[in-house]
Amino acid sequence: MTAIAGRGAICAWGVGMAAADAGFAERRSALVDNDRWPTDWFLRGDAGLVPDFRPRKMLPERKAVKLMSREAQLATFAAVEAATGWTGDAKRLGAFAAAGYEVSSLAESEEMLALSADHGEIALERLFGPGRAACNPLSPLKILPNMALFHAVAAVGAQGPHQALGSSPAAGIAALCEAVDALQYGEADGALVLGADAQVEVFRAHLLAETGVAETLAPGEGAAALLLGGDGPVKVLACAIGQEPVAGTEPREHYGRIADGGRARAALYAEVAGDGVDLAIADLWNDPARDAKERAALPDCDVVGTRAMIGWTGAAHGLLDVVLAAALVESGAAERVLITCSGLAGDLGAVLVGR
Amino acid sequence: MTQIVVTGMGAVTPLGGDVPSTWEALLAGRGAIAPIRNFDASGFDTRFAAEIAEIPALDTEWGAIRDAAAASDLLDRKTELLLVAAQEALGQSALLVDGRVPRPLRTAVCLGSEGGRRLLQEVAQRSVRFSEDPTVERAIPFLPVGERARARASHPARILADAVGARGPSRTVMTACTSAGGALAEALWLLRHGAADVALAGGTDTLVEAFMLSGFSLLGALSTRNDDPARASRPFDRDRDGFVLGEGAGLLVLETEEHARARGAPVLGRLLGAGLSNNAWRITDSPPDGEGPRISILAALEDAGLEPADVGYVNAHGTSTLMNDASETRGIRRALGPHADHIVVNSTKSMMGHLVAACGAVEAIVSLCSVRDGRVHPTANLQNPDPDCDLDCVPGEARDVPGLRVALSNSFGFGGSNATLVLGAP
Repeated sequence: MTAIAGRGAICAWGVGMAAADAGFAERRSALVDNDRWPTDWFLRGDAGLVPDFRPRKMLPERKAVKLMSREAQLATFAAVEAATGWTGDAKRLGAFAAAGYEVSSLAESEEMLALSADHGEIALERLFGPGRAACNPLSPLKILPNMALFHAVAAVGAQGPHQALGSSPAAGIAALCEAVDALQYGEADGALVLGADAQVEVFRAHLLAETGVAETLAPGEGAAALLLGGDGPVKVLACAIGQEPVAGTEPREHYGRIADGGRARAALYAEVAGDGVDLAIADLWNDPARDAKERAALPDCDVVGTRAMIGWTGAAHGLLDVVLAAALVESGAAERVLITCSGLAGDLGAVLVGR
Repeated sequence: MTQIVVTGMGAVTPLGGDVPSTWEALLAGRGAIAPIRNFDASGFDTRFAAEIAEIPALDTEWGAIRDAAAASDLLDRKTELLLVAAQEALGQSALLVDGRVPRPLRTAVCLGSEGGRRLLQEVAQRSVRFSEDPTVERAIPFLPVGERARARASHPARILADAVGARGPSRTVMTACTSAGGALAEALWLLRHGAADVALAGGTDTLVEAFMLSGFSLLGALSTRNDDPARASRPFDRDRDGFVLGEGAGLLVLETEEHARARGAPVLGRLLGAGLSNNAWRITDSPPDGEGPRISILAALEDAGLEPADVGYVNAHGTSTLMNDASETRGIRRALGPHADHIVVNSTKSMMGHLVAACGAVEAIVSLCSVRDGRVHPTANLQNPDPDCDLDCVPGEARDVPGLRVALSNSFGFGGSNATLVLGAP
């Protein structure tokens, strides 16, 4: 059992934990028209966009904002909110993050690309001449997948063990498992767990279309953070990751097909749920046929899903559901909440939050 | 404490297509840094790198795995390099039965890798090809399906796991230059904590591409010694001016000692401990006082249950940048105290360049070879030692280190990541 000492969130419901808790309590849809890019080629025009987020005003290091991808901005906000109560040794504070592609700054490269083109091809001599001259020297760093973690830990000063783990919606649960292990085995006194993603960025939105996810869910963006350690009343009682077979090698077959009828996830959920739960914040995709398999794999309890309300938030999603569950337990609205999540290529994760 | 042993090692590097040839080249002080052949780099500030001239041939079985991936448009260079390293490591360990791991759910895969690099180039090419005004969102739909799958950092791990039927925990660590060091740490802890009996752990990366060269060059991180590439990577030297891009893969078969002994596997060395830390300082700079490295070194020694006096050799991150080498020296000195004057330190990157997400795996293998043979390779091109890098960094020629039992291998990355591994004799 690992105590939850702090929570942070930023998502389509709003900026900060209070906004997320309120939106979830109301079961309110936060999807809006996507004004980030022209959506005429895309199969849907809505998205789960974070409202009223002003990074330069809301993040601690204004000068660092220009070096941050959107994911890094979101991650840093959530991390600072979650870690506010940390008063221990920075060297004993670990940080474990689920990392996405962090390609949201691709569009910043358009001027560079225009200047590098010659008759419809990138010309290397132009890329390294006028193209490079148009590029911010620090822009390349924005695409490194560990940069959200870096900016977040720099903002809170965490110097302990850390990892940035692979791009998958279940990676947030994997990061949580890492953090729990680090605390259990004495590698750290506290651990910050992070998940951040901007699936509204055009590359990933298209991936959602190609894989079929966007047929039932809107793209979303957000970040969540947990501070673990200490003696708080709300705890991570169990967590685990697993794998289920994928249906095939095509992208559509990788995503959420539940090819084994739900056997692998049922076994994982049963292991984590233990003696039962009141509520599951589940891996629901707004797809009746698929969601029936997920529901069948869950233990007997009330079931809710957040993706249809705030969009598909990729590497952030599993952790977003965990921070929401913690609020329910803290308020007494639930005793034991199971959170389930699946991701790319058959990755599964499950967490039990309770007292 | 459960002991973790190494039963197989595989590597493909700019110096050689396997571990023996790479090790032989390192001991001979033979570098692989030369003008870039992969593309026309004549307009770039840096026009050299450490390339793998030819990817070694795979045997029939592994060749079939590669061909199947290629047929599904799922093969890229970094995955192919990983398969080469895996063939060597798994062959040495004799782990596979009919090409599959015998206990799938107890076999983990932990890899350091980075996603999306080749993807950027693809997006760029298509955005200018399909639109008069390059617009990224217009280019995206035209990307080949396989390109997106290959862009995932976890793609090589998935291909390897599928190839040998490993169904246990899978971790892809993406902490830039620290990725493979972090992946080996993950594997160590998974095995030690009982989540698996066997782990295939390492890293793979390919960086000698126009966009990568352009990006790192923009950061001012690369050497520009175009008139003398062979001497461009000169860690700890007063005249160093940046690192040199490389490519390669390294894979280790790790097992609990009990599991390895039970199946009669060869024990080539030990992974005794690991330590991770974050500088929480600046995005590309190393802290001048070496604090981040100091924390990771001490954490690794504590994890291994060892003292500074037990260490005989440090395979340094040693990138040949002004900041890293001085910061690392201070970190080693502060962690090991007076004992730092009684160890040897070298940089593998002086000869094979910087393998980034793969370097931690290949350098761990080099460290194990050093402990096995009681011999360390030189730091090439160390002609004028920097006073701020005042450890014994093995200039000139390879050197015998009698009684060497314990080595440290450091990896530090952009974003402030630090990983230290503790490697020991069988």
